[in-house]
Amino acid sequence: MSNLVNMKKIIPFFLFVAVLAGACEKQGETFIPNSAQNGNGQSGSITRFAVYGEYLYALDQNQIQVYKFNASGTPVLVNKVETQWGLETIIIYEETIYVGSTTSLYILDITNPENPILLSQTDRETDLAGGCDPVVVKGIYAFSTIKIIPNVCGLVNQTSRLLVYDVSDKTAPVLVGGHDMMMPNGLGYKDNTLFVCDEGAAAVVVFDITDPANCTPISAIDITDPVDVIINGNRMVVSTKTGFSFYDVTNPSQVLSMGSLSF
Amino acid sequence: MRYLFIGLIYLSLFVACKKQDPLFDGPGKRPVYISYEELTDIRNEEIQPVTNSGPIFLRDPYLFMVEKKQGIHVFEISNSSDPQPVTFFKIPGVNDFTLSGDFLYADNGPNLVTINISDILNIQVVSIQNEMFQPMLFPPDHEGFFECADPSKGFVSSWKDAILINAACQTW
Repeated sequence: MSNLVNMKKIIPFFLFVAVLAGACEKQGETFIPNSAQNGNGQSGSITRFAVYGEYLYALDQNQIQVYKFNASGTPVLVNKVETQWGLETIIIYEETIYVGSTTSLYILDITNPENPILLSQTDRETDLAGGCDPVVVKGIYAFSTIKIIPNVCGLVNQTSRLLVYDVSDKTAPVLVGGHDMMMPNGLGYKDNTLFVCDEGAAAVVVFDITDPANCTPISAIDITDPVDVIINGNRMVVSTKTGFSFYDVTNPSQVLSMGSLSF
Repeated sequence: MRYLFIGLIYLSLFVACKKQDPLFDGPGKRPVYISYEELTDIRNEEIQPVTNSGPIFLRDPYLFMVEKKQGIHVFEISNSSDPQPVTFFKIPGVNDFTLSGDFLYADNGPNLVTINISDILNIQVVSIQNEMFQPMLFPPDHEGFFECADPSKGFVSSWKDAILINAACQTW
C-alpha cells in the first residue's frame, strides 16, 4: 500500500470510476433474496454482499469474490470472477446471480456455487451508459433502476430510468420496457406491484407490473430521500437517508402508513 | 464507440492525474484517515442518530441499517408502528454487510470482518481478513484538486474541504 508508483497507476482507474459512478455512491436490496429462504432474513436491493447456502459472494470494484464459510463461520476466499470496473449491487435469484454495475447488468450461473459462469453482460451503450442500478428479478423479468446524474454519472443527454429486461434467455437479456424516473434508488415488488424509490421525486413510485413490458405508475408514496425497500409479507420497510418508515401493502393500490423512525 | 468513449475519458483522466506543475494551492479536498489500528475497534456502542444511511437488512425482530463509514444501527421492529433503537455496532469504514446464521459479514475499510451477533448487545469479532477490498483513493462527487491519498497513513474514511498546499491530484 505504501508503493506510490503503484498508487499512481491505480488512481486513474479510480478516477474513471469516479466520473462514471461519482455521485451514485449512495448505496443502500428486497424482493425475496436467497437468504430469505432459510429464515435468515432479507436484504434490500442495494447491497454488495449475498449469501447462498455455504457461500458468500462479495463485490469489489472490478471482481465478484466467492467465499466459502469454514466451520467457525469465517468466509474463505475460493474464487474470483474478474469484470469491468464499477460493480455496485448483487442479488441471487433461482441459482443465478444478477450484478448491477455502472455500465452493465451481469448474469452468472451458480449451479456450481463455487464456480460462477458468466452468461451475459448487457451493453448499455445503445440504451443507457452509466448509471447506478440495483436489480430485482421476478420470473423471466429483471427490473433495474438507472440513475443518471448529468456530467457525473452517465451521459449528459440521458435520463434516469426504470428498465425492464426479459431474461428468459439468460445468455441474451432483451430490453423490453421502461419508464423515466428522476433519481431512482432501490426497488422491490409484491406480486404484480413494483415499488421504486425515487429520491428526485421524494416518493416511492408504485408500478403495476402485470404486463412488465408496459409497466405503468399507478400511485406514489410521499417520502423524503427514499433509499431502499424491503417487502416482507404485507409489510414494507422504506429506508431514507436519516431513518425508515413502515407501510402496510396488503392492498398495493392502497398503501397504509404504519410507523416510522427518523432523526 | 463505447470503447472510444471510455478510452477518451480514461486518457483525459490519466493526464489530469499527472503531477501538476506547478502544484496547486487553494481550496479542494483532503483525505481523513482512520488508522489501521483504529479500524479494528469493533464493538457495541450507544444508540445514535441516523445521519447517512446505507444498506439495510430485515431479520425479525430486528432491522439493521448501515451508517456509512461508522457502523450498523439495530432497531427492534416487532411493533411496526413503534420501532425502537436497540444498539449500534461500531464498525469503522463500513459500507455494506450481510447476515448468515449467527454471523454478520461486513467490509471494514479494506478488510472483511466476521462478527458473531448471537448476543446482539455483546457482539464478538470472529475474524478480520486484511485487504480483501480495494480502497477508494479519490473524493466522490468532487471536481477539482485534492490532496493525494496516502494509504500508508491509514484508511481514507472521508474527505473534507480544505485549503490545499502543493496538491498534486485532480478529478474532473
